[in-house]
Amino acid sequence: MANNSLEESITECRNCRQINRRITKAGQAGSELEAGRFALNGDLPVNPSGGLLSGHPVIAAGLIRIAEIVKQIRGEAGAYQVKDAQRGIAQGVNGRCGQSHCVWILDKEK
Amino acid sequence: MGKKRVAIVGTGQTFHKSSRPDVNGQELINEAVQKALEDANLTINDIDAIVIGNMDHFEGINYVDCWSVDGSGGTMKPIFKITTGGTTGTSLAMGGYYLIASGLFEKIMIIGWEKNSESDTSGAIVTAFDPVWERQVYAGAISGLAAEAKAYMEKYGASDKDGARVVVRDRKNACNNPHAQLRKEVTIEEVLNSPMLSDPIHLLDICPRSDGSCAVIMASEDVAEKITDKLDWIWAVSGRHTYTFLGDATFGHLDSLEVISKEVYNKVGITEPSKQIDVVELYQPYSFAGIMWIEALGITKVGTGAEYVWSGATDMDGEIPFNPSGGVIACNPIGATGLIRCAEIALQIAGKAEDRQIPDVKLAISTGFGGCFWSDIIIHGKDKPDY
Repeated sequence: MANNSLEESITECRNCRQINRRITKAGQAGSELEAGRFALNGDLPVNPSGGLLSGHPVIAAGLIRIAEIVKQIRGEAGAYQVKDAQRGIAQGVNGRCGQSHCVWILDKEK
Repeated sequence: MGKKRVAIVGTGQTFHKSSRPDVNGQELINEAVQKALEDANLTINDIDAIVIGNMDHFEGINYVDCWSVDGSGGTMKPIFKITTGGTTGTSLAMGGYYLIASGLFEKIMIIGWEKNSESDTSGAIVTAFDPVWERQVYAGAISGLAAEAKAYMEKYGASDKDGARVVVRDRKNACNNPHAQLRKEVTIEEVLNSPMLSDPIHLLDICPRSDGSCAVIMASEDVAEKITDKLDWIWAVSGRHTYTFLGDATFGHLDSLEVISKEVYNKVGITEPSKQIDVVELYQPYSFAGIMWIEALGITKVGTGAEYVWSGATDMDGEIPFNPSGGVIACNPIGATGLIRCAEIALQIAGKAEDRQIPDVKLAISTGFGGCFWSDIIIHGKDKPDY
């Protein structure tokens, strides 16, 4: 999944104040963010739902990320629908130092 | 049925005590893990995932899955925390089973543990009860059980002597089990003369609080037979939760255990459990459960539990021995207790139960029980199931 920007259409990150470095090269996330790469209409939309910074029911948050990707893939995301969403990533993290992670990849195709 | 058949390839447990000040929680966990690996002749590198649990909040730990990695060996492995009250131990076993049966994992380390000496048992259990309707009058482990026993005694004419007969059996059995905490026989008189906690439950009718851990390694049929020839195959599992308001529970008959035992008996073709099952490790937190819950298991007709136990049918040389390990009355590190039931049956099936071995065990049962009358059941078999 390294340098996967061409393949992954959307990402929902939990506690993702910093973009996962497998999606972009180390040190480049900031400039890519400013350039709009991760915006709703960008190359690789991150947290179209608004993510955790917009609301954080802690233990439910990871499952909500998955639900949000499902909505995107189904085309049911309304005002924050990513165009033609085919595949998405949902990610969860636990621990002050991120000791524990869980990643899901969901796809429109079986 | 699952995609893969699953067997227990090794078990380990500590020598359970009322207090283990010589170890911290991770060290306690590690003792059982090391013993299980030794039993299965595997290393931690062979393990694909960890399934771990204890009672929620007892030791003041929230993220036991993360917290325990130094003891469990789970660093950089997937770890699943399962904690379901008293049924934690059997839920852990079922969780491990489901993961391997799915075909997605091959070898799993299942760990149940409790450091009760560091826990406020009642304080934690109380939080499971509704603060308005239940907490003030009903909370704690004993009250619901006392109500259940009383209801049964009213309906079927049982007495506290019947409960005491169960204690005598299990405390005697525990003398054969080096892992049990309480290894001293008691008499009916001693039980009845022990302090009354909550009518009809005397001190000696109920389980102790123990520090201890247990680890069980399960493996997929693809690799199990290469690991060891002393296998315990999991034939069927089931669990049911039930009402959370105690006012809605059925007192005097364990509905959840009846439903799940019928389900698994049906799955594997058991029509006469008392004849077809060779041994049972019953999650029996207090004596009267040994009279009542055997009826829910279909071992004997409703109302005849006491008579059945007095006949000696559940003793070590009886038709269907119960709790050769001494059971929960002799030892109760709660988060481990259900898993110990499973591990003890694994030892029976594999012929590794030492002085507490029942001869020729082919088919056996371990059960779990939790506070609001919910239950788990596991059917174990010596032979590989043919489905």
